[in-house]
Amino acid sequence: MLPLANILARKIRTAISVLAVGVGVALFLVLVGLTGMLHEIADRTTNVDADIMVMPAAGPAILLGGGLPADKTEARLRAISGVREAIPVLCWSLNLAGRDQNVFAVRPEDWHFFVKPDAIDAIIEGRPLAGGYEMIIDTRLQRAGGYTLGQKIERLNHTFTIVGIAREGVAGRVFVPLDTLNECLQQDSRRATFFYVKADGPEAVKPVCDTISAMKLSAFTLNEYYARLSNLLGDMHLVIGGVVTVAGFVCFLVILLTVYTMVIERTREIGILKGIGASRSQIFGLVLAEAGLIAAGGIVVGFLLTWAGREVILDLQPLWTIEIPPLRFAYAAALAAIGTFLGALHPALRAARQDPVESLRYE
Amino acid sequence: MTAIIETRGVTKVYRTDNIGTPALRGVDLSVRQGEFVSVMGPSGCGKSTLLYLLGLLDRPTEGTVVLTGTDTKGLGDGERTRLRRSHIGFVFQRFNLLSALSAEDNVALALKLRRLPVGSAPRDMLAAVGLDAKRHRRPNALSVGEQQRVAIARALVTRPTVLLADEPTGNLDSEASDRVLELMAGFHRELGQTIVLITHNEQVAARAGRLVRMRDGRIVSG
Repeated sequence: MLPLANILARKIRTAISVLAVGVGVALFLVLVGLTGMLHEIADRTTNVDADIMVMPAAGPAILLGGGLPADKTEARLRAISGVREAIPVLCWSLNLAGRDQNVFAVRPEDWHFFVKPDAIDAIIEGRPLAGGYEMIIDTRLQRAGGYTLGQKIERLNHTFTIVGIAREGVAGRVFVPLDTLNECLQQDSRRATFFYVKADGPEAVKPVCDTISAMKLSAFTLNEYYARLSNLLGDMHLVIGGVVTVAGFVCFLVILLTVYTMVIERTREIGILKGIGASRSQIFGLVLAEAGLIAAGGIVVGFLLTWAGREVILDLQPLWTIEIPPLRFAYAAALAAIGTFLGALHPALRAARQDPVESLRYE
Repeated sequence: MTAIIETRGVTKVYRTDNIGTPALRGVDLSVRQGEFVSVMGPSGCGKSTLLYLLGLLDRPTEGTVVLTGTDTKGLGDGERTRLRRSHIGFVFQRFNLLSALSAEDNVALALKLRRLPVGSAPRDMLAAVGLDAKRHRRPNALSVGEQQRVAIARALVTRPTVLLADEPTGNLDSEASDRVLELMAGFHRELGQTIVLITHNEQVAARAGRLVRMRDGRIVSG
């Protein structure tokens, strides 16, 4: 009764405190959610019906350019015992929807490798690539750029036609025929950035990887490649962790200041409470309960701000990914609760220990 | 009749920067059950200090306070709080209600802090002080006289052994003051409520059955 009445009686201060906690919670969730963008790239890149990725030795984890002779490398890979398929991919960058997009150039006959069995309806509009200046884009890019099936797009001094719209989640946001991109880039022979390799079975994956590695090529299982990309996120996580820590600390200070001010402001009231029978633990509990209500309000506001922030960000940047697993909400709530508890602890102890006589004499 | 509350050789010295300022000097006071005692004296004579010691809100530098036969000298804060809750009702001079709560909730709070059942007691008590119709109002929507009547209701709703009132009419006009004093006298007369009232006003002090005069931290009469 009293904690709720007290925070409602000081509406502006309560609102500011709740907002401060809410902003901290939202900052945490949105920043953490934004790391989902990088995971989404890793997810897509490994969402292929293959087992191994093959790149030039010491090749970059970020895929771009034609570092491998496609035909020669394919022949070498297919000659390895346990290799069922070798699928060349040439990656290049094209500006679409206002941002550089990683284009996957593949052979039209290899398209089915990019459609895992559980996503057989990956083309939701149009058809797969047949050859020539054709392009498939995914639904996200379609939304972001407002593209339509059959639309002509001038790129690389040629006119590409969008012949298919793929469901988001396929390996590339943009697919074009391998030969077409090689021609556009004026390569002397067919080039590939990397290969996907499908092994005869799970038991063949490791021996095939070892054999390819002995051929002065880099070979990773798709899981290893995913892990490699995830490791690249390490620094990003550090930065985000730093920002989250600062946000949490600011929240903590706001709560500390709010509750401290509240205790000072109500010095006389605390004396009265003691006079009418409140024990130390009841005063302590009262102050913590008020802080707890502020935290609870802040958590709710934080969740709402997160939802609103996510909508705004995705509206402005449709190609971004903000993934916030439910557990993160629980983390955020726990962090806000812990920060609030720590922030309120000192003022609550101070209030509990306050001399009732001095409090009653306080003007 | 035995004393319900008494001080034995109570001295209180306030210390600031190692300089001691004596507020009470060896005070012996005994209040019997059902007495209405007023403690009178000029400002700074130690009246309020005595009241806070009687109410176990403060500890004497020397001497002891005995409440309902319990010597409180060696008691810890928890035990003192329990004794205070069980036996003492306080009425302060001013700013004594919690501004965020309605009159009824202010009265109910005294019961809730003691974990006593609330029921209709707050409303009944407010009716007894003539404020049933205004029980939902917050303190700032009540006159100062009405606020003090709410404070009396809050102090008495727990049926305390002793009601301690610190200048309860100090901020009231004469009409409101009369009403508050009549109310307290009524509770004393009809319910046998023990009351210790602090005042510096002769007319207020005269309403009590016994007058104790203080000067310079000592009881000089009564």
